[in-house]
Amino acid sequence: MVATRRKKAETKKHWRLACKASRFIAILNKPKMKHFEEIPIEVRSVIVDKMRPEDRCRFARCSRLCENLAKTSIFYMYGLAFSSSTPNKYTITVQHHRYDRNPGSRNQKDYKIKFEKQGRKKQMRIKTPAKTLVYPLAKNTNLLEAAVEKFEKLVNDNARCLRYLEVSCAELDERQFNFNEISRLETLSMRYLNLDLVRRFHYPLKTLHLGESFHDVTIESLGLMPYIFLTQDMLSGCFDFTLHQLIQLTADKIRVSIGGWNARTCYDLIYHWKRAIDPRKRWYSLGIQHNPQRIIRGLISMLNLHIDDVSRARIRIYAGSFNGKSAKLQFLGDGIFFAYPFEAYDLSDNDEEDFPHVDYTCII
Amino acid sequence: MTDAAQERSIKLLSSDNETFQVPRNVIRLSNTINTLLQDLGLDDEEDAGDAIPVQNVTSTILKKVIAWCQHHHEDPVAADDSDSREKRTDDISSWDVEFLKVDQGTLFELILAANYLDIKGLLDVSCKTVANMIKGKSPEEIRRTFNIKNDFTPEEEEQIRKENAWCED
Repeated sequence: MVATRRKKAETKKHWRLACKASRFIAILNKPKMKHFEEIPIEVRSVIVDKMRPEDRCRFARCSRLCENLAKTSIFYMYGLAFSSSTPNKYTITVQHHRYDRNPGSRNQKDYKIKFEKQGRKKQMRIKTPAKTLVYPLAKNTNLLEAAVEKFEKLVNDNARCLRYLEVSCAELDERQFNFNEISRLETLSMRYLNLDLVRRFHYPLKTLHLGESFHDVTIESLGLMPYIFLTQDMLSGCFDFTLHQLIQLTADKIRVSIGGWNARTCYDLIYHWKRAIDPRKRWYSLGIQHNPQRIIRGLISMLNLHIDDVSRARIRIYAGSFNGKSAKLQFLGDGIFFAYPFEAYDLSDNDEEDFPHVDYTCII
Repeated sequence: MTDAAQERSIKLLSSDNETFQVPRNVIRLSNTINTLLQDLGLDDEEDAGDAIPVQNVTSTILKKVIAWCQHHHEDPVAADDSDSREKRTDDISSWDVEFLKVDQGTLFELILAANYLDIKGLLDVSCKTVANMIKGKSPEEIRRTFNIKNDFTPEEEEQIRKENAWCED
């Protein structure tokens, strides 16, 4: 009886030991758990791509690798602009996009960095959608110099995710950017034409946006450029060539900006342009900023395009913002975007006066 | 793909030499297997033949991948999740949420398998699940969750905190 009991106890003991051993062996044999850093970069990018912008910001703060990942695959910076409209106040506008690429999309986060004088104090003010951060500057700080330095640093730090660069200040033309790093730039916008700067981009830019104040532009110099983003200034009579000449020589390079244009100029441009180019054969885009919805509608109807034609013509219409408000983009097909302001636009004003030849029944 | 091809089965061999018989119309969700069968002209063959080695995937994970494909093989083809569309992480179906309630190691293995087998839907939901794990967490919590080593110097950390301050709501 005792022997049987002892035998039973021993068996139980052995069994327990065996269980422990098998559990131990199972632990030893268990494949090593994969960590985030062991996942291939292309997969990590997919994960990071799914994160919200604010999560990405925190993720970027975790390690060098995370920061690198966040910068290269996430924050496609759309706009980085510098303006110096008022003395003692210089503003850098930065636009980040969540997944990138649609200007005006709801995922956009804008912030402005102002270098300004408030009374006797000089400060750097970073205004975000959520709050404003104020950093005092030393009394002897040169505000323009500080702003230019900050802008240069922003450009260079974010070179790999920069899509749009506006060099709108003469001081910036002289600056050195990391041109080899700026490999994703699509649009270069310059108020002062600097062909040397354009040539530094050894890959094809999609668009060159030329602003006011370049009186030395010749039709030949425009011919050197990859694409031309026409602005109102180019039609203001300060050049040695006419719009018609420009279209004849560089038709396939032209893209049109009607930002800030009045309706009559838009009409003139489209009228001439339409005569020179069959819109169904050309790839062009209408960049519309700070313009009411009716302008888009008007343009489309002026071109006598229906949605199918638009599709065939591969027209891409996009908007940055409407009167400072974020725009909503409606995706309608391959490469076609129509832009609407978030808030319903008041269409009650005098469309007919602006576009006497337009059929306003055209609904986009 | 012919109807006969749709009905037959394919054998898959995991990295630990376990064989799985999978209906052809289930494994069609894997672009890698699809392309392989088409390129080798095996799609029209009656006999399933030798098992296709899936070297990068263990039997445990392959079993889960097949289970996911089995549940989703009749789903309508999803529209291309192009950059133009707003992306969301809160649209994971309840079945997928339950399916992906696994330890982190398994989740990462599933992501790797989905990537290797090119199963877009599975890769999408599993990546969204990881992104959701990060939602609202502080950098320290993210590091702890994913066992990420902080290799910033205190100065760098302060600098990057300042750079990203604008994003904090």
